[in-house]
Amino acid sequence: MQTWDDRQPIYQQLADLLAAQLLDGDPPEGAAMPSVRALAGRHVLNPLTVNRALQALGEASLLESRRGLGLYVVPGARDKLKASERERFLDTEWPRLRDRLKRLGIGPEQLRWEELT
Amino acid sequence: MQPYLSLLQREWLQHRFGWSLAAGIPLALGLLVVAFGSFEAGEMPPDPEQIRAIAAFASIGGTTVLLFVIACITSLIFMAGLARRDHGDRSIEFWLSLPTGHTPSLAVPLAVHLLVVPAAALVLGWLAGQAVCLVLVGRMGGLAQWVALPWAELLQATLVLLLRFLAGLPLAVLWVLPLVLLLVLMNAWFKRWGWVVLALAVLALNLIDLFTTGQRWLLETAVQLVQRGGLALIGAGGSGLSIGMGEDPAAALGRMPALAWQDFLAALGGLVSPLFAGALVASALGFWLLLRWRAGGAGLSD
Amino acid sequence: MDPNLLVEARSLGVSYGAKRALDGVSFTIPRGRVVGLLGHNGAGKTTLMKALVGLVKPAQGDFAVLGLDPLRDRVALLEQACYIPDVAILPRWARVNDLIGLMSGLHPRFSAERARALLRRTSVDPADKVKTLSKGMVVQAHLALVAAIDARLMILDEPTLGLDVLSRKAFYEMLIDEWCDGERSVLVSTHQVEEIETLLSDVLMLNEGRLVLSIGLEDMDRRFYALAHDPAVAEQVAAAHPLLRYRVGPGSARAAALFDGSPPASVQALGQRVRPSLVDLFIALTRRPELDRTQF
Repeated sequence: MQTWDDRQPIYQQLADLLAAQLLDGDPPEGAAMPSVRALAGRHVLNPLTVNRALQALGEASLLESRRGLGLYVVPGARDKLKASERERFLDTEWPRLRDRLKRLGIGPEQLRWEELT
Repeated sequence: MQPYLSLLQREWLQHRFGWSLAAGIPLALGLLVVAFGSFEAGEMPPDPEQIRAIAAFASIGGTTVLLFVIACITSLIFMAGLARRDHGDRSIEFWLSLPTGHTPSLAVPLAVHLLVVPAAALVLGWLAGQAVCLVLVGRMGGLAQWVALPWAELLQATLVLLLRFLAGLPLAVLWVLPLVLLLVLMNAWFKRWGWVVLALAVLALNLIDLFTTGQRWLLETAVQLVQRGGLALIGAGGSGLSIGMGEDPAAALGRMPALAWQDFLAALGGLVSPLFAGALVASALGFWLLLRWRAGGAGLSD
Repeated sequence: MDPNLLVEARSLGVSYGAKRALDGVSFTIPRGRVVGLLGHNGAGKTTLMKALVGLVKPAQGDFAVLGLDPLRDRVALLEQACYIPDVAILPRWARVNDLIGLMSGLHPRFSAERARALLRRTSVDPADKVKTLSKGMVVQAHLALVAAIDARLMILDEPTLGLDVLSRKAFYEMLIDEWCDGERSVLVSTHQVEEIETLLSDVLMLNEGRLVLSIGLEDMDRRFYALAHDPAVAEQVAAAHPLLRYRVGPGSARAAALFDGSPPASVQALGQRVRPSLVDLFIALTRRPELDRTQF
């Protein structure tokens, strides 16, 4: 069964997990999210926890609630996610990585930039 | 209504195998004995027709009584373990977790084993008795003789016997119920030591009795209850329910309905007595104590 | 009586002779919760559960389960609340089919169809006799039968005892699918705290008959402060009197301390805050005083 780490509340970790899946197009934009029960069963969590995670995604404007139908992925959610992930990478992860490269003395030629584009 | 049906169904599901064995084995043995055994004839009337009639009556009546006695014995043995029958596999906790009241849960098995089973044994015995009669009389004189039996009187007499027992059964149960409930309570409160406690208590009470009143009224009361119960079942007319020597069987059989009816009325009359009233009160008390025991957790924390 | 509360207990006390099994226990269980009941053996978990269904008579205190008195209104209560004690206790002489039939007649909220559907998910065949089933299979069968009851309150005493990992997972999934609808509540006692922690919405911790904690898991995350720190600063952390000190992380390389409430800012700066695990909290609150030595 899935193990959750102790750094963040579980609902936050689930929200991050679901966001990562959204980024991969699962489920695609405009499609319905799996039900709370389905998610709870899949991840073996209390439905209240799942609700909080979905709420967090809703607050980040990634999901919208359609009356009587449930939660749907907002069109443009992937772009929003990509944008915020990009920002996070450039602000926190990249500087750390760059410092490490400097320390190891790795130059751009060894990094194979062509593969990025 | 439905809970009662399910409780009845439970008794059937749990005990049908045991009952089948308890009834089937003696019957099978009996049939074998009758089919292949040899008989000593005591003082018998010379007339073969009379002999056959007596044999028919005896076989039908005898089988009925045999199965009845077996049923009573098995029921009594069962009563001694009724309170804790579900404790071995701890399924008592399963039954206690169901929304069934304590009263039906206790009353149904009591009714089944004290009334339904002996009554069913009587009916089954009567039916099986027909087979035993067929085999016996068939051996004595062939099928034709069996057909030639005085069936009108025979059926009437044996059915009346059956009905007398059936009608007397509830009365007899009411007479001995205090003693039966005492047995159940001893098992409930003291588990296997129930017998010991009972024996010691009886001994102690009798000694007290003897020293204070010079009489053993406790033991005598118990004996009285059993006797009156027996009478309620088949009473003083018992001696009348037999075929005398030299008597025409058909005539003797013809007497029986009237005798049985008188006997039954006498048994009903016997209910009007302080002893019976006392027995009813004691039974009510005993049942109430059983209810308290089950409601208190059925001795699980013992 | 608040309609949102399924169970209300006030100062419950139960004695077995001279032994005090429960003492001054007060708590509530709202609807739509999965409540974990934690405690060492003999802490009083089973006694508490039995009291809730009227199998044990409390000497003190008053409580209402679904608005009813478990002793006086036992039958009415048992129609809406379901209790499975800790061992496999189905009658050994019966076939599973027989039990389905009997329960249909004896329990007004039991659904035979649902029972059969749930049984299909297990390795138990309805024609099997209970005495031929292994212990794990009896537990599976019993759970299937109980899950087929439309009860508002499920009380389960160690329901996963004797089940292998797959069966336990199946049970947790069944718990989520069948019972977490926001209306029903489940009270579960278990030793497998880690497995069930993510399913719980609330927790009750018993220690030697007393309730040492009654809290929702969200509040627990807010109230208790777990600090993961470098072993080098252990002394300073210990000076702030944590509830428990232990090791975390791969190879138990890092140390951690558990506080009830936030420790002073100077101590907070010594490490990072992490989520308190239920297991650690349980150990912290229920260990015997004589074991109160450093965990290092």
